[in-house]
Amino acid sequence: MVTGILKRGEYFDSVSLMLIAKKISELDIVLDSAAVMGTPENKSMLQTSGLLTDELQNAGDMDLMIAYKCSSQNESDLITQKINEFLKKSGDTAKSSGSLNPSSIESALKILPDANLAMISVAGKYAGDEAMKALQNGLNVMLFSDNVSIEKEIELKNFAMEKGLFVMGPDCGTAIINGVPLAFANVVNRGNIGIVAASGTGLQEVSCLISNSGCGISQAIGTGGRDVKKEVGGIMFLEGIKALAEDKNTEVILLVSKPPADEVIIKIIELVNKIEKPVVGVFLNASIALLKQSKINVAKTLEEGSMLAVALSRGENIETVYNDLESQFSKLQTRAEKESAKLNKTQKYLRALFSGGTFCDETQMFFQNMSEEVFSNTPVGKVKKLKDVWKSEKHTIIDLGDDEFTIGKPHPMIDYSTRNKRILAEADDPETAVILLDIVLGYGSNMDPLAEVIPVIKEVKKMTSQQQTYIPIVCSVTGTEKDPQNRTTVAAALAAEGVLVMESNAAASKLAKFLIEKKR
Amino acid sequence: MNKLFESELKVINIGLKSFKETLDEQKVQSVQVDWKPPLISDSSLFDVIRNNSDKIETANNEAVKRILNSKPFLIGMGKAIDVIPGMKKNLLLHAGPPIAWDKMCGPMKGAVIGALIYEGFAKTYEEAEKVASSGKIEFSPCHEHATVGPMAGIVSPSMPVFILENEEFGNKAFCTMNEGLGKVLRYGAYDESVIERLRWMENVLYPSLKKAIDKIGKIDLKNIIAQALHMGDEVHNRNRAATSLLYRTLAPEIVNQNEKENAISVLNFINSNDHFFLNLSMGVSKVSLDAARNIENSSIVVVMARNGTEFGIQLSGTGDKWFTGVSPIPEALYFTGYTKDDANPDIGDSSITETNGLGGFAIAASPAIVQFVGGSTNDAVNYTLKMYEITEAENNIYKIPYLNFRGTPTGIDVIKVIEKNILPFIDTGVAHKNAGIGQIGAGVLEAPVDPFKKAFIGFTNQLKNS
Amino acid sequence: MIKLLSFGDHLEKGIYNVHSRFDKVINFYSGNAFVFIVNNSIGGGSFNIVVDDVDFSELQELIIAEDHFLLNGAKVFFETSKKYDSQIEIINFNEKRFLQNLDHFETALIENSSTKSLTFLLDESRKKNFKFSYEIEFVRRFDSAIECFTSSNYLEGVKLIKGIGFGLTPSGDDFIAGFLIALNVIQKLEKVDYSNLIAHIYEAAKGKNAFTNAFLLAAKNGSLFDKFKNLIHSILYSGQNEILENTRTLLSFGETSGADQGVGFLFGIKRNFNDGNRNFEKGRIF
Repeated sequence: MVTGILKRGEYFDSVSLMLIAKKISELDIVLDSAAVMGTPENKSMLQTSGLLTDELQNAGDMDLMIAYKCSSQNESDLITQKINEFLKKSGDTAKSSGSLNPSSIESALKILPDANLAMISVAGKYAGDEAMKALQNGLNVMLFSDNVSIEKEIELKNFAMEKGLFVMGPDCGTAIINGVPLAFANVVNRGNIGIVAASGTGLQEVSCLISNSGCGISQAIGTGGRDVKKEVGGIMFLEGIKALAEDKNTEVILLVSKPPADEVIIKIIELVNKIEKPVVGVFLNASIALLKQSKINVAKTLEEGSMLAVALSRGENIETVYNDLESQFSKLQTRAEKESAKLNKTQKYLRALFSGGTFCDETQMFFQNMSEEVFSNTPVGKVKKLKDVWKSEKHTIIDLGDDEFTIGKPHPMIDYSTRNKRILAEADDPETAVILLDIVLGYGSNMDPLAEVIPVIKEVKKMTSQQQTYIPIVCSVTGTEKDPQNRTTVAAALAAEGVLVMESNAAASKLAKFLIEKKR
Repeated sequence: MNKLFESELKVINIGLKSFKETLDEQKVQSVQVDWKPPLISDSSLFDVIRNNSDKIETANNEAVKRILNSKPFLIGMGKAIDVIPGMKKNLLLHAGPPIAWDKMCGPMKGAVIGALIYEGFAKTYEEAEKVASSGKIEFSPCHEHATVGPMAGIVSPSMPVFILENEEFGNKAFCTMNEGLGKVLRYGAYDESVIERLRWMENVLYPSLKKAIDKIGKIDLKNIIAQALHMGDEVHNRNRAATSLLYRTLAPEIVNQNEKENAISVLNFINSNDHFFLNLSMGVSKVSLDAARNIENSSIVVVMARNGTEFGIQLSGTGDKWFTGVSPIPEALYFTGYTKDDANPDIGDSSITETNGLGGFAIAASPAIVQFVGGSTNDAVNYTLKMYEITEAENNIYKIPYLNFRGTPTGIDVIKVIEKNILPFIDTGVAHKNAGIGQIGAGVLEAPVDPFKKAFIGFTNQLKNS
Repeated sequence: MIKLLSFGDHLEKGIYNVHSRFDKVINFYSGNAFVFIVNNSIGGGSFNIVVDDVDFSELQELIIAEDHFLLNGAKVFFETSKKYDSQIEIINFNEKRFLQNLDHFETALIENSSTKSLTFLLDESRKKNFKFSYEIEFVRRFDSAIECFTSSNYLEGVKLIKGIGFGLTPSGDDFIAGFLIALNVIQKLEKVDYSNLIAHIYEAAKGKNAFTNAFLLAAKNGSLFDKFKNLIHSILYSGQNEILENTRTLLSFGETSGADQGVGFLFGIKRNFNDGNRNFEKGRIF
């Protein structure tokens, strides 16, 4: 007897189809068989072979036909069952995963009952509710997701404060807890400096600079940028300071933020004034008037902040920091002089292309008082807004991590393509005097940044040498030797291509600025 | 103050898997959560739940405690008309949520016809159809009469039924005797052979079983199920072990009866029907879940049932209210010659077993049927593991050997279903859409979304107004 | 985050639905148009969009617009630098090397292909693998078809084999596609005009199966997918080792698909290259 099996609209790649056909033909009770798609031509072939059953008559082009001949109904049932098994198996191979992950925080807690932190990176719309569940279950929260409403943020943080828990974020990209770098973070030394930061890149920069100078980090708490705004009132920033004040492994506290709201600054000062441990603060572009009356050691740049923290942690006089900065100043001046001599008349402007948002702010701070106009897509201070973010004007300082550049794309710390194109465009502009870049290493960032950036640098060199010009490329590399990408390797490779590699974004910005000033 | 700095960091990662990989690299203990957005996005409803969470938790604890503490025994048999509450001469019970004659699917109509012929209300199909649509016959869900029935689930006044009692809470439940496979009433067959079998069951099987049960006194069905789970049953789609255990219990008392001929035919009948126990496993589930009804503020599901047209559920905290949606057609493995086009939408009260932590919820205990319903053993284990996500408790008696004798996931919480976007998993037989053809496949299905969404909304509205 | 590696040069704008899905390929269709979302192991093609960092099992919706596409809602721009070129350029053609390389290709094809592929046309002894009645009929039809092709009864031949055989794209159609590609290549090598013949074969081979049609259309236009292009490139310009490697890569497509196209191509070249004037007289064969 002949049996036909029709599988409508089911697709099997031909490898598994042939495998099935082979398995069918190997069953010794099968006298004849075929497994082919239901094209009219294949049907006529089955007809010729005496295998076309009524059911298969109805097969369409995209249906799978399996026909076989055997001697009894019992055998036929058995074969059909086997075939269904084969088909099922071939469909399953991709899906069968060993164990099942839990679907909720509650079930995850059954597997890891003493978990103490939830990292949440689901869509912002839902992230708030998940964070609340985590808090209700006694977990600290690192909320990587953005687009969480400010009302939700306040609700979460108030609830967490009552329970004595942290809510890092929303939009918190980085933290280092108990020596473990989380999300976008670097592998740094452990030590006695504790950090509270409302700025992701800022936290990465200071923690790396501290680690690279031989000191280390006890804890680094991210709060998300909105925490220090008036509405949230610095709830977690203040909680973070308190926690570090009580932490026995923390001897120096370093605070990093874009300018907090005045109300928040006042609260910070009040709190810090009660703390015994030395406190350093980097509040980029903040008016220093308020801070002057506090016991906070105020630093203007991330670099200065980390140097102050290092000096304090070593029990050194902070005057040494200012001496070091002084000598760095003159070294950079000399270097700038040498470089600017290579520029020609038309080359006048800075083109800074950042993947780290805080760097964009920091560099604007250096350049905002230039005599020529300064533009940015995310202007601060006296800097003006770019008309067209895709086109540079005069001095231009760009944050490529801002929304307009990242729609449908990964963050520029991962995907260098947008910036690479922009670098070439700037190199093609006769007015470009210096290109300023950042490269941020660590977990979460691109694992092979050299493969992304070196070809572009070579291309720039080729372009400029054809035009017999020279454009210096200044670049800071944020990272440590222990990062998976290894800062030393990256810096050396860049230097080998003629890039002026700087320890910090502050130093890189200063060099770029001096270079342009010398030119005049 | 925060203890985070003093303890070893242990992380639950919800979202980007790469973060978990980074943690693995650093040898930090972590668990990845496979997160899905909830089925309902209106967060104000979740606020209501959150604001009442203590009340709900207390109520759900009570509901589940009752389910788990239930002690279902088979205590006897009787005629439906004599024992089922509210049973009347002109009343037919059916599976699933309420349904009118004209909305019934093929198999259910067929079974109604058969029952009317069996009861003597009609002699032919045409006559029976007239009677059914005349308005003289009333229809009511089994579930509203402490009764459950597989597939069409038709129970008519003269049919003999098993009587189950929940010793802990004193409530009773009723179910018919399973007719076997092939042309049977529950699949909508109504020809002479079907009626004849029903008569034999009434006149031979019933008296014999009744006598045997009376003699034994009572049979601990929970115990039989617990053992059967260790023997490869999940007591919905596979009842071979449970049937055998019941057979062992009954056989001596059946043989002990005077008429030898009858004893042989009765024992053969049970022996030849692997699903003989199914109706009892449904009855056990019913009598256990009924004990958890009407607990204010409880979001535990006490009924999941299908009438072949609609899929309906009831919650402990919302009384007798049904929440319904279209009944899905199961993804199944079909017997030779049948396809999905032939299949009737999901039908029967048998999903009461899942509601009670058996059937699909216990499928990890039943590797033997995994292939039958299409899948690997691994799938089966994962199905069961997933059901722990939406249930309130792990069963104290029903245990799964493969999972280190972990209790089966018991007590579906509609809030968890909605929040986690995980629907109850049912493994079931598939009926042909035309009356009387019988089972054409077996498969697994997710319960449809709508009844659960409606139930969740109904439940929260009730909370708001209370 | 979707990373675009390459996109085809014959993509049609439209709203697409999933037609079928495999591990590394999702086939989308819109009317008669197809777009294949594939990963890098499949490579470029005139209807392919090659992407990275994508969970294929989750792909549902595709919209192709003028300068971008939307895959599951994520917008990705078509960057000109990533446009795939499906045409092959002929420069410095060396006939002797070409003929030698064809032999290498034939050997590689026979030695590496599935027993159920059309390589029985190259090696008689392989016919013993076809035992069932369907398979016997299959071999018989191909034998007749080859006779037809040899005697220039192209349309008869096409009718005999179109739509028959194994796999999602039946072997017969694979063969025809390979044959059409061969004709396109010869046109470039010899400055002959086969456009009529190509059009006729295509019309005759077209069926109701939109998927196969899309794939025949590409062959008709001389559009090559990445792996086939590499193979022809190596036959034209390089030597045995590279041919062997490229043949193996081609054969990794489906169980027989790659091999069947290869056989069609080889046959097409052998049948028509350098030989067209003797056996192929335009106008007479139809």
